[in-house]
Amino acid sequence: MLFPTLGFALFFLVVYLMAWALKGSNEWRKIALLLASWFFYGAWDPRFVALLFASGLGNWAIGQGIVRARTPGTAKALLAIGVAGNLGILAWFKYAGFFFEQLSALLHALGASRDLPLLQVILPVGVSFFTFQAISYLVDVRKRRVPAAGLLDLLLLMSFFPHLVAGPIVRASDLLPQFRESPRLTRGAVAAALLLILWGLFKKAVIASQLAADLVDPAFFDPASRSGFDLLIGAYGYAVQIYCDFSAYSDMAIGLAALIGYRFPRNFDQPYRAASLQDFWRRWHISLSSWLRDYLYIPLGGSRRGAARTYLNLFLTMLLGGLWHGASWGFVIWGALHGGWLAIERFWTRNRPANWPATPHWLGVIVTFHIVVLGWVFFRAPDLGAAFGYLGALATTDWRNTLVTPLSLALVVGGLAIHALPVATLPALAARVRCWPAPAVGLALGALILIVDAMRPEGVAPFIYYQF
Amino acid sequence: MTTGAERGEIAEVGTPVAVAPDPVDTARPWRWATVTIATATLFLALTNAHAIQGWFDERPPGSITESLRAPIRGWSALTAQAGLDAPRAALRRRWQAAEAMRFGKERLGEAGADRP
Repeated sequence: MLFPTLGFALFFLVVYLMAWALKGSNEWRKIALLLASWFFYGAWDPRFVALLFASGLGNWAIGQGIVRARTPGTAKALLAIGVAGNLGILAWFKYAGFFFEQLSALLHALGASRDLPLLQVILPVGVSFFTFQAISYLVDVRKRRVPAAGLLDLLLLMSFFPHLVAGPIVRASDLLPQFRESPRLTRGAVAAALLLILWGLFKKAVIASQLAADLVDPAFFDPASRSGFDLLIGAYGYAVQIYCDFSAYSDMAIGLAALIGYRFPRNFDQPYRAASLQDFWRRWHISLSSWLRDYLYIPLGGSRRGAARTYLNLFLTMLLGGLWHGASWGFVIWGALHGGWLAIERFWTRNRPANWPATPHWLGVIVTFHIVVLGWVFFRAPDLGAAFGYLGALATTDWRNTLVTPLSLALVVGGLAIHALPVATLPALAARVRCWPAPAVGLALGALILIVDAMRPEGVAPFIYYQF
Repeated sequence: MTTGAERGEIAEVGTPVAVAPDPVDTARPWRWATVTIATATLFLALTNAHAIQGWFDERPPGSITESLRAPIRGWSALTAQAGLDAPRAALRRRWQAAEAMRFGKERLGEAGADRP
């Protein structure tokens, strides 16, 4: 069930009415939201609901065990079991097939041919998101940052449909306190939520889908037959496509949750404005980058163990961040590129000669954007060979246009130009809209959705991050 | 680097649905939201009934879907007859014209179309 479809709209209307009809009993409200979330998740594959339930139940039991443990050693051991269990789920569903494939190739290369099991593991949608959420919950309980949750609250935390399949990774410290109270609406939050949903719909259905169909997919399908110009604009196009696709999901998720009365954290903040890669990661998929920082980089030692260890920790964190997306060498290279460049940036910040001028901001933005675009080529290409093939073809001096249309170019430029919008545009607009009469807002909303619907290509492609 | 986990992410990075408070915020917010959503839904049901029919036609056959199929087709035909689908159709034509525009001989479906 994809957000920008009529089927989801009907589902959400029912959930919205049901959630507010049950306002008088917070517990029944949460039960209804949990059942709705399982229905939503079961629309992909009912078996996934059993996995989600089992994972929630297991993490709840371990969380309770941690707070009841009589010695710190027992709590630590329970935490280790919980983290290992969650990583085990992730490893099985995401990496088992890749592992056996690589092992088989290695055995063949060594001349020790053996028939290894051919695994076709079905990847449950959103497994990376809910397992990371569960790990952060257990660590936070162990460190007493959050109290252990009741079973209903934890199941709902992990299953809540707006963030279930593609984030943001909403932490227990954000959502559990909200679950304990009966939610309330404000006109400002509703106005902001509706604007976010509309903006997300436009970014996904118009910009991302049109760019994918007209520019990015043809460029990556057969790069050897395209010119360097086509591939350069194709790579920029993918940068815009993945931003408009993923941030659209986050915007819609945040907006939908707000209409039911819950606040999610910001997940994107105009990332291509970043003047360094460190700045980029404060603006892109913020819930993942802060998760990696708090639950991986800092436990590895962060920047507290000397310069060399800091660079290594940055590199390892991003390498594992790359692998979080899935088992492929493309994601490994993508993570290594980001980790390596972050380490270089940190080295340069610490060791830049005092008499050297600082890098101009505009130059930082351009360099950072192109490092990110280079990474996206490895992220998007079906395999490593295709990525290097794309970059090789991009380096040719053939600058004819065989692919770029006025519309696709306008969407690339427009997708980058939205990064120049003032940061407070949405809250300022929401503050005005909340004062309008409801029928006027409804008519404006309906008219704008109609315009988006008229502009979108036929059909709705799944969000890119559904595969993670 | 700040550590967000102690205080929650929202405390660290904020939420996009936070708008500066105003007395109007608490003026029947649920009713305001529900009337807004209902109006938008009604507007779309009138002006985009073709999309509803298209979505419904893709549903697998069943006792409920079969009983609703005829009324939904009737509704779509009725709104089309009244010309309510004209604005969307006009917008669609303009967008398709923009899609068809070319700088030169580029053809998206064919690899390297204007190569010699």
